[in-house]
Amino acid sequence: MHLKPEDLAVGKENFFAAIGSDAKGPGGSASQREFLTARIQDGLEVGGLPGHAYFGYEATLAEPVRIGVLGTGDQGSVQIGAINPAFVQVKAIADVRPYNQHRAFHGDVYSEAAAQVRPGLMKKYGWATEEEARKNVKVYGPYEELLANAKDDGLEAVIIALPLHLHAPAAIAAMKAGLHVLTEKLMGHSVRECKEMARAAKQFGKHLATGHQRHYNILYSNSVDLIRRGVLGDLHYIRAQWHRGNLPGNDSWRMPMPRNAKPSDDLAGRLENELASWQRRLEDAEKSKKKAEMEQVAAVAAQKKQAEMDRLAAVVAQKQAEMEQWAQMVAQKTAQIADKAIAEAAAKYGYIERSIRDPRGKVLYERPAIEELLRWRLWDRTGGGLMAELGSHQLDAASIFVAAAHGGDKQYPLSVAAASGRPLFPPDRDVDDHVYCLFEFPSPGYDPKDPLAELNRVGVQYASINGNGYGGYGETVFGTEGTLQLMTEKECMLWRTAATGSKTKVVFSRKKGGPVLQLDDDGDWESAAVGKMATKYADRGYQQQIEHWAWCIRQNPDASDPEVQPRCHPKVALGDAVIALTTNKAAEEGMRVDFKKEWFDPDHDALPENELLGEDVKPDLSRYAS
Amino acid sequence: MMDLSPEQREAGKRDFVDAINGVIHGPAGTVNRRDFIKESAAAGAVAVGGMGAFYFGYGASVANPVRVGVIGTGDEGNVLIGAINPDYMEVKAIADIRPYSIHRAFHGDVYSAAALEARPGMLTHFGWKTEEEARKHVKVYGPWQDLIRNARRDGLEAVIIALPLHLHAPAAICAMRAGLHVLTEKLMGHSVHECKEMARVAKETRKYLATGHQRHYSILYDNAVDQIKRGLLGDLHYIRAQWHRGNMPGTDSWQQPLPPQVKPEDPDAKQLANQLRSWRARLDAARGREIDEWRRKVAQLEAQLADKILHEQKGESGKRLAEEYGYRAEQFEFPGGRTYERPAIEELIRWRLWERTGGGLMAELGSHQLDAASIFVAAAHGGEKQLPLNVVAAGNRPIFGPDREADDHVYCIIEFPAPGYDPDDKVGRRKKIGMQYASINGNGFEGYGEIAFGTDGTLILEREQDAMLLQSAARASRMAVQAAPSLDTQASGPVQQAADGGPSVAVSRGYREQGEHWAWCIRNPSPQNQPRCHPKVALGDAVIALTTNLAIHQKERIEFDPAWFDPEDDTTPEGIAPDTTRDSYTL
Repeated sequence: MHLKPEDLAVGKENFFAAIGSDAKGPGGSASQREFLTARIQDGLEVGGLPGHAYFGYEATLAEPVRIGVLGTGDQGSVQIGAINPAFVQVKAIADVRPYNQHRAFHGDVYSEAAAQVRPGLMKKYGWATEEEARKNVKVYGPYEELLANAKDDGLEAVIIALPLHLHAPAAIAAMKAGLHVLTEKLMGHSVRECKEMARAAKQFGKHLATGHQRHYNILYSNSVDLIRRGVLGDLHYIRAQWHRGNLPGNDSWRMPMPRNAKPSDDLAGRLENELASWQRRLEDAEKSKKKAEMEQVAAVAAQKKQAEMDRLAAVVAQKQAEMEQWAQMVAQKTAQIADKAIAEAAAKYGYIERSIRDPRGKVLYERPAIEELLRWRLWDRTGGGLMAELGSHQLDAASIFVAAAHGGDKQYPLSVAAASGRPLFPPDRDVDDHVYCLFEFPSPGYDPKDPLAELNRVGVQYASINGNGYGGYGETVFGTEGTLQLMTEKECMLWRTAATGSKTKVVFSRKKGGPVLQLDDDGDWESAAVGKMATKYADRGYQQQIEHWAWCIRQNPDASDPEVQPRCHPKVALGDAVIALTTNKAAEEGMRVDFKKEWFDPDHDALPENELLGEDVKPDLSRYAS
Repeated sequence: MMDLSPEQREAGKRDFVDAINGVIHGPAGTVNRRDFIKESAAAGAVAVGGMGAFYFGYGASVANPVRVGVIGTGDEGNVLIGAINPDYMEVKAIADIRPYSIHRAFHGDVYSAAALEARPGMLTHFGWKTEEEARKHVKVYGPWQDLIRNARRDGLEAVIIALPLHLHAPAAICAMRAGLHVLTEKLMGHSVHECKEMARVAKETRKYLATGHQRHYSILYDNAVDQIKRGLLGDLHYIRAQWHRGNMPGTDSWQQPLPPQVKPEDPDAKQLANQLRSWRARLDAARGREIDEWRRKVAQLEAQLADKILHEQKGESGKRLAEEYGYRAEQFEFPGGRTYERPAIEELIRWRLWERTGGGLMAELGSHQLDAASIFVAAAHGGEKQLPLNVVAAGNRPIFGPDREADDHVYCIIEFPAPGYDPDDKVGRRKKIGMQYASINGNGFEGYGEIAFGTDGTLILEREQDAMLLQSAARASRMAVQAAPSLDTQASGPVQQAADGGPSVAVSRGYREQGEHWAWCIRNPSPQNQPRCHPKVALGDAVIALTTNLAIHQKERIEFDPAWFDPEDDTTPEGIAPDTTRDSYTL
């Protein structure tokens, strides 16, 4: 049920060997090695991941696309970190939180990992100071202000990383203002909104991409290739999961807020205590540095040996570095606490104060407006819970895998059955902390009119839980001849079904007319070397996603050419949203739902919310008039 | 799905054993496990009887072994024979209409070493030299009805039933009405009304009726439950279980080859005959000890081929023998003029694949694991049994063709109440423990087992053989877990072994202990002495498995009705009221 490190090592080697194999493809077509060898060459030329060669765009743009970033919080700052300046130039940002404006420029220095994914604009574009950066980047509070000034600021496009309920209004207003859009996932807060967004993109002739980054992850595209070539045999089951250890008091979706924003909060004071403690660390570093400098002076006077002088110089340099680091952390924490300034304004920005009550009317939890903003993932009005935030990515991956089993033809799920609960967290949120669901997709040969072929379905089981991170996150694809596992978007493993301890080799089978995965004591080190080298720079795909979007904007400025579209274009993103949002409803109500084809069609007015919630609404762009 | 170093893996097993041994003390008032085990050992329980006897609180032996008949000696019946402890039971009669099953009852299953270990056969197990000698001790019947009719004359007190699922209720009820106690294989019955009928007749006739969910007698599971009860996992909030098997068309353990006369046109028809030819050649070439080995294999294969008599027509009725015994021939028709012919013998030999005779993956595999899950959930409620709230499920058949009715993939999500669950309260309503289950064919990746997720730790049970307790970093630092030896009673040679015992001894899955306890209850009848899987428990397991099947067919979520779990209540999920006067319940 769980794999030993040896199994994982063998699995990785098997994966590299399979993608790097020189065995011919189905019908004797080209091998994947030929393709990957060319990619290795491309990689040498660009000195990194040749995303352009994988996903079919050029290595650079004549003129970077001038963009604004709406929302520079956790995820917006990740998008900024993924920017390749050759493709986009950030000209403006908008965020109502002082903390997010700070991070947009300075990055997130709370940890090394955070600094890596959120380096900030200054580092990205080589600006020495915030002052210098502000000469290049206009800063707005509400996103509406950025859009109102977009023409004056010379913007051509925006990246949207606002809370979920604002994706549709911001994206539609942006497209109306003549801007292309890359919005974070989930596309919208309801299927109705998603269809409105898709229609707006069509009406205004703009590119609208949605940030399901797995579409641009080369580990996924290589995996898809293995499935298409039949290396896994017939795909018949997929299991995916995202297990996180969040518990009350330690929940990544429920960050501490400034004390003044809500003095009664159980986490109140945490930020202020941290600030005080970090300030002391900063002072200590300053003192140590001063002390070392005085020792230097004394050492010079006493004509100490060079070795001692070098030692003292090293101490001074180290303390200087510590000082700078603590100063940056203090500055970031100070900015985080500065969010208290918008405690009053949050209501003005549209966030809502609310009391959670029990059936007898007793107040269980008070939520000020700023809490809805800062912890937007926890509330139904602003977020979409585990399915929107985590599940949507993985079901997106599952649909890509199922499509691969159909030779690349997009497949929609047939049904979902789901359940959800909140055994762990108190009523300090709307969302559940456990969601489980069960999908059925058509297998090749599925035919609803034939009692036998009707049983030809691929099951997809998914769970997203809190309280215990055992098993981490990833997707496991079960075929009749192989098992493929993708963990944390970064590691791929392949085995001959249950033989987790055994090496394999892909060979061309005349009988099958395509490649087969065989057990092989020696494995296939030569192919593995190719596969490993070709995926050396594999990452989660954020950078390629922005690059391709920018390239589509330059190449196909009115979005009319159907061949030049972001991979997660409105129809694809709508499909992912239908799956996640329908599952939410199925889980909430505890039911099984058959998907309707029309839900996936942007031009059709049918909506799952009408049938599942008894609403009676239609997609309607005139809602966004103001 | 996780990256455990060998050290972590070992530490996980060690923590599990330490926890059993009571090094980690439970909340005030709970039993210290190690003291309990030590005291039991000191009392001599282990030295005299098996581990199961002192562990599950029954006597080390019974005065006179219970005289039993074994009804159905196929794959599973022979496993049960192999698990019989002669101190508790004596086999006086067997019944099976298949020559192959009768052969294996005596000689065991010699097709592989593993098969032989599980199914040693009565000769080896009870120390008889020849089948002739064995037949002096054991009467042999064909139809199960004949065994029950002659039970009194043969001096039987009880029967073990390992017939196809649809016969559990008729055989068990007829047996109890004939004055016999019953241990039946799981699933208890083919429908919930049957299960209730069985439970009612057990009460009426005052007979013990045990059902073979052997995890109730697994020390591994008992310890796991104890750890949950003592809060070592923190709050239990999620369970994932699975049974992944690599069966594919042509190599399906549920689709045994048929004698060649049954479907001569079938491409696989020659399989057994070809094998026989090849094995006979091996026998001719064999020398020394190999001769005996090949002779036994050939004899078993000949017996398997002798099943052909079930396909032979009898007398003037023209009915084939299998039909005489109640199995049915059927022609399945599909659009486009496709058909599948299923003779009666195929329904018998491959009974797990057909709806009338079997219950599919949920009945055969899932029921055990859902049973385990309900035991874990009960442990999270201090041992108080909890009924599941609802189930959603799906079943499909992407791998196999028209040669069956059973799905080859089954998935379900079942919700149980968590402590604090309250359906009438907005917050309490969300307090549920979810369980996700999958049973698939076509890929055996990760095998089978259960994972219990708690806020302080994770408990992993694999193949009923391995247990690991992985504690979160926070928990581990709160409790100083000292190194401790594994169960010190180990040296006295218990049947079962400690959780991390050496690789050479397999952990008992509980079959033996299950039989011992049942026999002991028969000899020591009292309301307190009940098999652990008594009718009410077994009914609960059947309700979960069969309702899940119903959810698959009806394609909708089903809320469990507590009345379904009450043997005395006439309500059933299938809507058929129990009726103990059915024709099939009299001989």
